Amino acid sequence: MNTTRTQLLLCGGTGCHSTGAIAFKESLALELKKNNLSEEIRIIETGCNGFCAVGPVMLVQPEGIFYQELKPKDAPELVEEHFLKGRPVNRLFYTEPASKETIPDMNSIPFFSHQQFWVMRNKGLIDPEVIDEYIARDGYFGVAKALQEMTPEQIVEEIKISGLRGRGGAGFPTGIKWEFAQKSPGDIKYVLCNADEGDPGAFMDRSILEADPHAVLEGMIIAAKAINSHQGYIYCRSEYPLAVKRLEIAIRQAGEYGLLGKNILDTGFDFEIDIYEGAGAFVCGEETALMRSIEGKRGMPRPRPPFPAHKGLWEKPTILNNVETLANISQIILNGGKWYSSIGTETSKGTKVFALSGDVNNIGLVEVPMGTSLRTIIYDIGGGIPNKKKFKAVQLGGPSGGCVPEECLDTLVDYEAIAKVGAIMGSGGAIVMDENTCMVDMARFFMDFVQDESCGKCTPCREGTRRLLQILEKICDGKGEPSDINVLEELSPVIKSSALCGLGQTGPNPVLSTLRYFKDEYIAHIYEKKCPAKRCVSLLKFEVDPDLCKKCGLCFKACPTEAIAWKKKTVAVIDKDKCVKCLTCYAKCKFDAIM
Amino acid sequence: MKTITLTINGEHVSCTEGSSLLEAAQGHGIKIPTLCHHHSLKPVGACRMCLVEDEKTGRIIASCVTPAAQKMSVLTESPRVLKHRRNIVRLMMAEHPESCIICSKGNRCSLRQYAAELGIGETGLYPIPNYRNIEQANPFIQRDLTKCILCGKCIRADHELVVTGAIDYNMRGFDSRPSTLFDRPLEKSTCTFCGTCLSICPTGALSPVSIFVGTPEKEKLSFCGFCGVGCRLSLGISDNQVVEVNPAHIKKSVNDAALCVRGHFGHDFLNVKQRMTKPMIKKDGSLSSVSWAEAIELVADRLTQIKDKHGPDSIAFLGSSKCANEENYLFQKLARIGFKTNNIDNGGYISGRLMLDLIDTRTDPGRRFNFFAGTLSGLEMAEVIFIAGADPSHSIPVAGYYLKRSVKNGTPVIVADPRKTEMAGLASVWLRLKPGSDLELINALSALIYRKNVYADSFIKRFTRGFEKYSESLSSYDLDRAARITGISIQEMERAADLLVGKKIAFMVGDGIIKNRYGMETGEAFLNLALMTGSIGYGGAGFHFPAKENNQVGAWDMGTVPDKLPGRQPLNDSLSRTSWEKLWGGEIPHEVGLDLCGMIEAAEQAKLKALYIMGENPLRSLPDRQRVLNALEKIDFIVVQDILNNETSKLADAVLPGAAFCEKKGTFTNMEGRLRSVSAVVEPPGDAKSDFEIIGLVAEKCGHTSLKCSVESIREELSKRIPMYEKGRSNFHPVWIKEAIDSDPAEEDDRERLISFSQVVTADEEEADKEYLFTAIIGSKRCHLGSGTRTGYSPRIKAFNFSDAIEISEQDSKDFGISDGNKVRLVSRNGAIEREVCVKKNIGRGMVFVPAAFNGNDAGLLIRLTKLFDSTSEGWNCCPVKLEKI
Repeated sequence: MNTTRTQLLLCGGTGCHSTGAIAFKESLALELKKNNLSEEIRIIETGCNGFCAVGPVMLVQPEGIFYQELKPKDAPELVEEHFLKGRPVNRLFYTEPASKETIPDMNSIPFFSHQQFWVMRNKGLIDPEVIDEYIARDGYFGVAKALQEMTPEQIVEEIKISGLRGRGGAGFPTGIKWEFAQKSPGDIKYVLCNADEGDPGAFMDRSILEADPHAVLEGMIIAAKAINSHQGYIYCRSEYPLAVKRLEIAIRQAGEYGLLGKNILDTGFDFEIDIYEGAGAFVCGEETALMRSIEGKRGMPRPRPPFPAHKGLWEKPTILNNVETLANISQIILNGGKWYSSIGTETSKGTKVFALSGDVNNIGLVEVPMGTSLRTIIYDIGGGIPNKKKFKAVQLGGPSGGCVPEECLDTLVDYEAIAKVGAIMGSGGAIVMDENTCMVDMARFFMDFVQDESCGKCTPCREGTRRLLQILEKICDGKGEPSDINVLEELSPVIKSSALCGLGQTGPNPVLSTLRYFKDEYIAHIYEKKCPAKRCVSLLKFEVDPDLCKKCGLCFKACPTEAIAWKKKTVAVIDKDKCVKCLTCYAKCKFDAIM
Repeated sequence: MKTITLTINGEHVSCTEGSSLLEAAQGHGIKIPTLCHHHSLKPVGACRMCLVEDEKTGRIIASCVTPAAQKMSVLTESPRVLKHRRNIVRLMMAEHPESCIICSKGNRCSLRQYAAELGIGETGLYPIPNYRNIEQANPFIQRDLTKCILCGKCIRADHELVVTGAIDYNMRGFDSRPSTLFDRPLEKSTCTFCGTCLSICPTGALSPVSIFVGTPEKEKLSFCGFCGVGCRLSLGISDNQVVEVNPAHIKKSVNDAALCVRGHFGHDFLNVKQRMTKPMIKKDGSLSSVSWAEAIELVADRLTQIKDKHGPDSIAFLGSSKCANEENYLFQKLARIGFKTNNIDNGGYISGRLMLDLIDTRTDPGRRFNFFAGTLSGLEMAEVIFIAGADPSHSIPVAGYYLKRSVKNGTPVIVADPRKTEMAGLASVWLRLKPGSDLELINALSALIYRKNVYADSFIKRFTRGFEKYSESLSSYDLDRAARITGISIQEMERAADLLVGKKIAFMVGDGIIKNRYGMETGEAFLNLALMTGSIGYGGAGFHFPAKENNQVGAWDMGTVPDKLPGRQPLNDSLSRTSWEKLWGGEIPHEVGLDLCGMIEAAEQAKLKALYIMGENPLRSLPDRQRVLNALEKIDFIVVQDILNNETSKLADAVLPGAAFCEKKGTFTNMEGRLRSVSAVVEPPGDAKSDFEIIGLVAEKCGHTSLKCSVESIREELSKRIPMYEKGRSNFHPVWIKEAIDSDPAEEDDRERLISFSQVVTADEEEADKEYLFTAIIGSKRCHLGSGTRTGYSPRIKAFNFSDAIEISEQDSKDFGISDGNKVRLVSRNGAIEREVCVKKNIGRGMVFVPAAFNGNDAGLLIRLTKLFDSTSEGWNCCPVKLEKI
């Protein structure tokens, strides 16, 4: 007889692991053992909870109390107060930054209350390493229905009705993609899952794989049935060891339960899934490069047509879907395409997961219905900008995307609407930037990433992105010339329309969107040799503004090269010969007195 | 195939379905610039120069990788397209070094041409240098990857055409470059220096190492003068010298964009100082230059005198498998009509004409069947390929590429070879037989296939006879004995037989069989196997014999042989003989003459008084040099007509300087049976003359004025009298047996015309040699052709210093305490040579591999000179040896 009275759902995602969840878990377990509570109170390590900003986090069930920023030293108090005496520990609750109110109930925390958990419905609730917990939440019911009751055509039809579009970024209708592959002649076909998430600041796929790996497997099995494939591969980047581990466990368990392998659920349908670990090339997230990589070749994109639905992996009909897309599938099969399409906008249905990061209070994973405004995501869920700074822009879609400025914050989450403002939905990376972000520097950062990740095959991407980077570096370095803007404006569209694959075709986007909304910053850099956000080191004077200086001496104490002279009640002075422009003083100064 | 119609630049054009936009445009003479596209490589869409604008969608698309679609409408020169193209060239130029002025690609550089066309003088961008070291440590290929534009052609040519895999992309993005494994120098990679990459490179990133600098004055098409593949060449000419060689890049030519190291770089022998430039005669024991008149007079007088004194058969003529058809034809005519002797042969004796003759005679009873497999491209359609005793990667490299491409396409390949040759390494089944035991292997495979009861029944019934008797001997065939003799287990033979069963086989039968002691018997065994499996006359099936010389087939077809008249017509067939006699206006002697080996034997016995050698170097190319030398020294009068001073010419009483393939007019027949015509693209050096002209001069002086004629008149004669060389056919396509039968109704089938099976002949079981523990296998390396007379003079091949080391197995090297670089003496019952040793993994215990053609082809010293295909033959390709460390 199970005597458990309380379940502690401790987040075991990579984010909380890195903020100390494992150490906390050990000390909590020890404490529970000391108090003979190990039987009654069980710690369950779940996948990513989503609220990474305040990790490690833990949900106490059945009460629904949410604890945050847990440290090993908190364990004795938690056990003593909450689990023995029934008095929840107030100081570990979530505190609303504006009102300073504490909110013990998870569902009342704004970060969670504005979200809609479909794809992430199991996050933080189940142990991703135990298949029974997944099944208990209706897991694999979608597979059972698809395999036993539906024809491949019906499956495709249901997905088409749902209006589900590819969550990897391009937004191609999933049902149509499947239909192509279904109709493509051939005995051997493949189902691929793209888990090569590589955008800086994106971690949606990782979190889904860590929290609910079976949902992805289920989606793949249903896809396999739809196109009559018997082999699937998950192409997962090897930088995601926890995701790989959990997938391996999930595949093993599904095999043991007869949900993978030969004769699944006695329906006579066979399907195997293998994991292929990528070697760290961003371009391998591009579908044709990904397939070359699985084939053991150099991951380089090839032109389409032929499209993978006709000639994909090993020249066989293949479908490739993103992790998030696949995680939607079983819910659509179970609840019907109509149910799925009930939320969202005209052309974008269902929900979308975003990885919210950057200068925002609530960094974490959020899932919102399509049609939610960006403002809701950043302010209501994200809790706004920290340190009373002003919002400047949010970068959507990583290096392939674009930035959305303040004036466009009411744009809704919708493939077309986001494209209209010059960004892309992308896979869901949302990097929030405050007023201290230099947009030229930001474009330079992404361009550095793109040119570094270019495979080198086609000229526009190989030479063009390098060229854009060179110009941006020049501008940031204070050596920009008026003609540079013309060159950027001339080359960027050429690269976009002539590059071979999606990487090059979207590579100049950060340049184009910053030029669209923040051209004044470019002009300031080039003509005035000034960086308005004071981020470009070469353009900073490294002088102390005597009017703003409060003579506190923080800069003097922080300077590692002793370049700052200061005495009590005097304005600090920077010796430019000694200064190495490390920006330490700049970061320490609370009064923006350093120019 | 469906036809697609579309609009390009407002013009209606059509193309076949599956064509790219680029192909559709090119097909209508619309030029679209491209840097990464080549008709023989798979399109990759890398350079993006070939962008066009789709009028309907406004999209900019790469035409090389976009299939032409019905009713599509594209613009190739719209302002948007030009803007894109200009910017792409601009980007490339801004990364390109400013060294055009000293770049030997010069105006042939495609990037430079496009930059000029698009008016990109200054890029308006800051240069981003991408400097790499210039690599020029080897004498063939210079790599200056600073100039690389990443079109990937070299990599694709390496992977798709020559299938070597020496280079691939390294690094990524801006830093990516073609590179060898671990970015080591080419000479330390698997590169074979075929040079295909450098000829396909659009810029100066890859260029040939040469004493010539700059752009040749002109480029002329020709054919390679080396092996029987007969690659099409584009010769770069300056100051009446061939200064550069490139593949001609002609679609559907045998080599298209590929070449081998010999063809690409070895032709620099043409300009060496050892070329014969003046006629010489022996005076007081040494050769001295004379006028043509004096030399011709001496030759004519002496030959006539000897004929008058000792009779016609005291004179022999050695024609050349390297000289043109017209020359060989005229040469044998001189022998037969002028000197009334059939003592005529050519160097093809050494490299396989006996096998060609055997298969042709046996399968051609009165009907001009062509038993051979035809075009090498057929190999890419073959159901299964069986390579026996051949190392085409070295002997005929460009044909080797076809085989490797077949393997890559998934064609099953069986290789029977004692050594793990490149093809053995790629084969589905490698039968590692004991050297010289091929006969039993083929018999055993036939027996296994017969016992599986899967053979080409209807083919056998329709086209053959004697199968019953043959199959009886197969059913009683002793497989265990075959396993003992070949050293291959029955299971392994079964594996091979399983691959062959029910398929039409393409055979590649090489030196290992041709020069085998059981050469003839093995040839018959192969023929039996081919008949039983119906492997004749179907696309891709049949025999390929690697021809080492460019006109090995032609010299044979021209009757430069002791037992056949031109057109492979038997000498003893009175009908053919009379017809030629009528044409030539003279009697042809009836008796079969001396073959090459017979000439040496006759000389030894002092029966041969004069020998006229055209374009052969028997002293180097025949085994047993001392014996050959002694024999030749007994001959009263030797004429050597050649292009290079060589071992044999030193013995000559008269030396007549001839012309190389590119210095004269003529036709050559390659190993596929393609006829190719060359013309003089440079003048012969010094006073040298074309061989055709020299033969005419000699004949005229001897009083046979009708032989002093034009090349055209001989061509006329050839094409009229030899069906295979029928007039009007620039390429002669072999007539397949299938076509011949189909056009010939069954009721007319004549029992005489059926091909008969021959009886199973078995080899003797031999005891191991107790004194000579090793078997030496003599074989070729790709740097040298034949015995290496010409390639041995090539400055670049010499400079590379290819290893001549004897290859030995790891196990033997341990057992005998010999390691890499040690010098050994290799002793056979016939002779001994000294070389360094190289330990190799691809050779088995008890065997050593001796590369031929090095050191004056001293490998021949090990072999006893015996008549090939004779019951007394010991074979020329292997012999028992012992190793002595020195």
